[in-house]
Amino acid sequence: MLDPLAIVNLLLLGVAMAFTAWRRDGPMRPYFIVAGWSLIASGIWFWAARFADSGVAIAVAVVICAAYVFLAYNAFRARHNSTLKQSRTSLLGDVQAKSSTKKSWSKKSANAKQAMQYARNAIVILLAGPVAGVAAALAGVSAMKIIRSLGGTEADSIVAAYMLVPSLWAGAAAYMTIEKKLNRKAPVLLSLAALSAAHLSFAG
Amino acid sequence: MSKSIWPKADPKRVAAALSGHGALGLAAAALIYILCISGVLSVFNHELQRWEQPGAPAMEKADPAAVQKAAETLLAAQENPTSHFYVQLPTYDLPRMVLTTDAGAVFADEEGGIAEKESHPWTQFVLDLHYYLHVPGTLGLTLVGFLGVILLGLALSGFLAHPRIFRDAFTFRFGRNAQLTQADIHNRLSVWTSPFLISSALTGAMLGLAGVVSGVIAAVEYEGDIAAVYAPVFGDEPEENERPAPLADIAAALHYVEMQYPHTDPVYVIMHEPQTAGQHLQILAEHPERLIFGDYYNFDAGGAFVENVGMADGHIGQQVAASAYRLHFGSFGGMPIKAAYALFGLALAAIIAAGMNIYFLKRRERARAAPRLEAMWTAVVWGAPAALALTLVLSVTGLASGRALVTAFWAPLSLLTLAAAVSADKTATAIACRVAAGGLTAGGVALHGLAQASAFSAPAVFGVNIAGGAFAVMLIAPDAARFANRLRRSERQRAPAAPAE
Repeated sequence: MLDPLAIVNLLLLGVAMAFTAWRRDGPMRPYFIVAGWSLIASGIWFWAARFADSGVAIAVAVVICAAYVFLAYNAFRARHNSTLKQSRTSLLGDVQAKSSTKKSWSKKSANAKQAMQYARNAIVILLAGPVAGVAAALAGVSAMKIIRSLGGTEADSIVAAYMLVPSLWAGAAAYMTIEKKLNRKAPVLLSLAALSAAHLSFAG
Repeated sequence: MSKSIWPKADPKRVAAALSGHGALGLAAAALIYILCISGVLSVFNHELQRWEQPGAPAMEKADPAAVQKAAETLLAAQENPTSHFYVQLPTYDLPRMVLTTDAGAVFADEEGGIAEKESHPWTQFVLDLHYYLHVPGTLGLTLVGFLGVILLGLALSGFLAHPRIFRDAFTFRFGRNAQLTQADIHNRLSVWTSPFLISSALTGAMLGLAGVVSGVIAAVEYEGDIAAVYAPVFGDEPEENERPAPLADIAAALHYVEMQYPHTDPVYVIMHEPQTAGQHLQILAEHPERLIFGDYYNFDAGGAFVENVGMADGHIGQQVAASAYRLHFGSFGGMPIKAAYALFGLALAAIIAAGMNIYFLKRRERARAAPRLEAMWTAVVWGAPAALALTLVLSVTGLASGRALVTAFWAPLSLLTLAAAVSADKTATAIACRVAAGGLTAGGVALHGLAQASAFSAPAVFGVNIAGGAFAVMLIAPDAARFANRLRRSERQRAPAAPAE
């Protein structure tokens, strides 16, 4: 079994190779990418083999920290090379606020458009928030029942529901905000909720 | 940089994902940001508890006989019978024994004698901020769980909006364009922090929404009995029997766990309905090298071992549920992992701040600048640490505790945000809040040092003082340096030119 320090070195080398692959172009680049990620994956595996499940989490934390070091190095270099003498804090101020352009539409129609936009946003918030939450809860509990019917234990099915409900809700909320057409997103969500509710009522 | 080896993403899909990502972020940025910074502090809640009360009796390990004696002494002194009774055993980051009843918590010394009352109002205030955002009961927990859902949704839409995730893995552009700089900070940190971000968001959402999800499961499957939902995962409590009985033999139970499960570290003794015939004794023991918070070892009223619940070796669902807490708080790998979690939490705060900066810069580009909103956001970013530092000073000086601390956080933060909206000056708001946050943190640490001078060199106290001092310097130093530079420049301009020789 590898020493923890050796595993750390394996992970660091993996991140370093991924960084090298990113920096240098050429025929070797794909090999560096594969080698880098393979080293990272093997480092995580070795740590998991040595420290069980917490080993995976520790190894991933090491990879993130190592990536931060390379990011910081790159950021320092980029800043150093920057020809602008402005400080980081004043950078935000360098984009000048443009003078407001004249709206081509009349004030009345602009207000109507604005009102429509607010109404649309309110519907999206409603869909992404409570409606998606209810749909996710129904789908999660429905999945719990399916897991049980397939021979899953009580504990496994309950915890699956604990994990599925927030995951489905997050996915649904993301979809509700990404999909532009209200007439497409609302039916998807309502179908999910209706199907889950139907399954729950029929499954008893 | 170079040609990508990855397939190209559909630009329309990316634009839609970006728009959705922005909408979700705007909806909850401020509250998620507050959860981030309170989360960073919560990672060190044991160290902060020690810092707040450095005089509590310290011990590396509790003798089972001393635990038994302390329990008997405390229960004998109780005016009313307690329904539950807990003994927190010493751990590496909290080397003290705490006994908790329905009436409160007290420390015990190494011999089992009862010492002072436990009191860490500021740590509790920070934990409550992170757990509930100070909204009482299940509602607060559910709100925080919902924010976890939004963070998870943000991670999802962020990945969809980021087609060049590997190609740009280390790209950082400073100075060319403010929006690019902010986008690089946001994207690079997001991608590399994503394992932490996703796991924290999911576990946070699971913990926060557990009550609501359990309610739905109970309604559908267990005729409304929520305890029946928890039982298959966390074990159930035996029937109550209120007939008086001698206290179960805690020492024997601790000895049993030590002998039969030598690879575990007992961290909690939990007594349900103590000193009754239906009393139920549990030893919660940590399993080093596992993510699980531990496993419950159950003993009956007579002190005989019954079974372990199975958090360590039971169903996979039990092990997953038991891993959520430590994965969320980073309490599985000692101080290095805690430090890494604090770094990731700060990175997440920076990701949120950069995301909002991108939004404001885009608005400016589209001639829809929102200086008031921008100043309000700045007030949240720098005002939240300032308000937290104010509560620290009030707590250290004993001027506020409990609900007063809650008011002392939210009222100034709301006022700062309002003042920023009126002034519409984000630079002045940022400087004022940073100086206030730095000054108040330094003040809080100094006042604590004066009040607890004898404990200054204790490891936890020293560590927190150094971290607090460093934080204060980091907040104040850049603004102080800029101010000094400006002063020097204006003096140089005012000074008459030296005569040529």
